[in-house]
Amino acid sequence: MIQIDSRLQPLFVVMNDAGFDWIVSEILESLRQGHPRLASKNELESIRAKIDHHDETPEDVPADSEFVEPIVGDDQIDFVVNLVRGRFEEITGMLEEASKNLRLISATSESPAAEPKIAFQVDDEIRFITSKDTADLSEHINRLNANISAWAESVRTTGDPQ
Amino acid sequence: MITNVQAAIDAVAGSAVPLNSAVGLGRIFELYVVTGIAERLLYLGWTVQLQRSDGILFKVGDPYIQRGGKPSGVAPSTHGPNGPSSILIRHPRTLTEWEIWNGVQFRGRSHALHVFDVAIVPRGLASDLRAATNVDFPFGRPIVAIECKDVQSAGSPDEMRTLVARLYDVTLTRSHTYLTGGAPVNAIYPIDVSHSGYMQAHNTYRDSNLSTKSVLARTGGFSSGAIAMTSYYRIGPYDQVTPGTATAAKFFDDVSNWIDRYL
Repeated sequence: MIQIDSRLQPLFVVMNDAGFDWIVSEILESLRQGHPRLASKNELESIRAKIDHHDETPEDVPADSEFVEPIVGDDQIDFVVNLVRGRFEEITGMLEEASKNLRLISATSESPAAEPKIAFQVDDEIRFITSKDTADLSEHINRLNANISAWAESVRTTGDPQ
Repeated sequence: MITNVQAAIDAVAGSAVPLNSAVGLGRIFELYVVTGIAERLLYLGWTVQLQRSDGILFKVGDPYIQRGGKPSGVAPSTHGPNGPSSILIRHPRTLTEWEIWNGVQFRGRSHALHVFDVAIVPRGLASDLRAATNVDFPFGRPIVAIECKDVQSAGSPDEMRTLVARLYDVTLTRSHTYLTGGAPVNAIYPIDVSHSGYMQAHNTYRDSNLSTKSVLARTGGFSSGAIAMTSYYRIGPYDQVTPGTATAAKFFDDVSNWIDRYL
């Protein structure tokens, strides 16, 4: 059982309070999982080629447990910060890409619908997302990335997580 | 220092974009995947049209409503246009029509419900479900099923096992005549076998795997143990599916080319 670095506690508290308890759960699960050996790009490409060619030869891969490398000490701080950053930073890119795709689809449609806005159905609420919302979110995420990186640097050098 | 992090994370949490659950973030990934496939099909000459949840094609001012919460069945058209949108695709030569769905639950042979993050089904099946009086579920296997995993941790063998099990439960084969009272079996039905089915069922589970497209797309990577079952069960593994990556381009090209070739 891996020991979770106590310096991470304040970060977990602020994430929990902001409603991101599910990211904390994901972090804890990932720390317990450690660094497994990842399938390489070549391995994945080889599998996809086998599927295309109806090749059913089983993969000769060892069990995960043979490769797990635990995450300890300052590596836990870096791992968690990278996980939080990675969790958010692709969001705005995906939203922008989806918006661009929808505009293109709409423009080539037999009955063009101008530029369809994206809306999210959350319970019974329809929440419209404007390009300003996406830009604002991008700004907030950039600020979070900068602040969490500065926090990690401070924790590593001073040992103080506050 | 931690107060700066707190202020920044509170600002992110307050965004209009729903991020307050793992489901919220995952739905953004699924929106990116659904629209990305549709966009590639446009370039392959397919007719692609946005469709409201009541089955009516988009009119000026209609928003693309992305499912933001839990998965569900298909709502009848009488419930109106405020449910999740879908995308209608039409083959340029055969003119066959299909729909791209997000987050719809399918019923399996065990009677359990299984969600496929992205699924492609015959449009006729979708229309039949929308003509029903209640929210209901397709029974059987979609021709394309994509599991989207927007998580940073490495994909595990259990994640792959779960997808294999879901696909197994929704696969109907010709031998499943106990379901139809001896009548020939189709691959998928609206609601249950008392309705007209779509696409012929295959002889075996293996044949079904060979004749459909199943994919596990992740924003992160796969642990080496996770890929053990993939080629045998024909589940294409794609890692780092995020804007601008080579694997994302490969993923969209592979899926859309398969659709163009086989649908």
